[in-house]
Amino acid sequence: MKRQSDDQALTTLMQAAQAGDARAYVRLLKEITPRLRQIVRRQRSFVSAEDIEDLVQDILLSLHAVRATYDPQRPFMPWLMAITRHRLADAARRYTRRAAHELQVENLPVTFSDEGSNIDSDGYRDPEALKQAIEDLSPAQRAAIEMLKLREMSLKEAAAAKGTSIGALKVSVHRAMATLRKALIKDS
Amino acid sequence: MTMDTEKLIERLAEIVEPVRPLARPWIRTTAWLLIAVP
Repeated sequence: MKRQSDDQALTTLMQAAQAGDARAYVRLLKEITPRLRQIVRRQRSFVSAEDIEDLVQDILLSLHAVRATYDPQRPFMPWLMAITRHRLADAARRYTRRAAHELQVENLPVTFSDEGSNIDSDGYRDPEALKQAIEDLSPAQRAAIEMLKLREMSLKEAAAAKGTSIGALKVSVHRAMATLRKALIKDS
Repeated sequence: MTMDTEKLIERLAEIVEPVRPLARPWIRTTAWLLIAVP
């Protein structure tokens, strides 16, 4: 009952606003603003207070632009709700379009694009030292490193090629890596 | 948008002018048909 009388009051105000009554227009807009805020907040609970206010203002501007389309013989609130729905849909589309062109970066690059500042690169800086360190390994360790790290064979393939067990190969490669690490740190 | 909503309402009220509401849909449809159909 109250809603009906409210709607009737808003309808009367809107009719006066269509006739150019500025005071009625202010009253109408001030009357509907908290309702719009509530509707937007309910439908877009995840957006910030600022964004809610932006949406409310967007709806008020739309109402102003299309106020001639309101049929004074009909209730006001359904007309306002139709505008609200359209503005919310537009906002959702805008958000989706913007999100499609944005790249979420979780791991920012920690080095600069200048090569001199990139101290950690994919390639080893001193290939000669690395070659020498590999040559200094025992034959079993060198074979393990060559097959598993340089030729990128699987453990099973390497074990079959060398005629040894997978476990023995794992131990060889682990020891070889430890030896290489020590040799290269000592060199640098 | 950075304008305060209260200010926006005042601004809109300042520029409000009388508008002629659209005619009822059936009147508009009839008018359109009279013009469009030879």
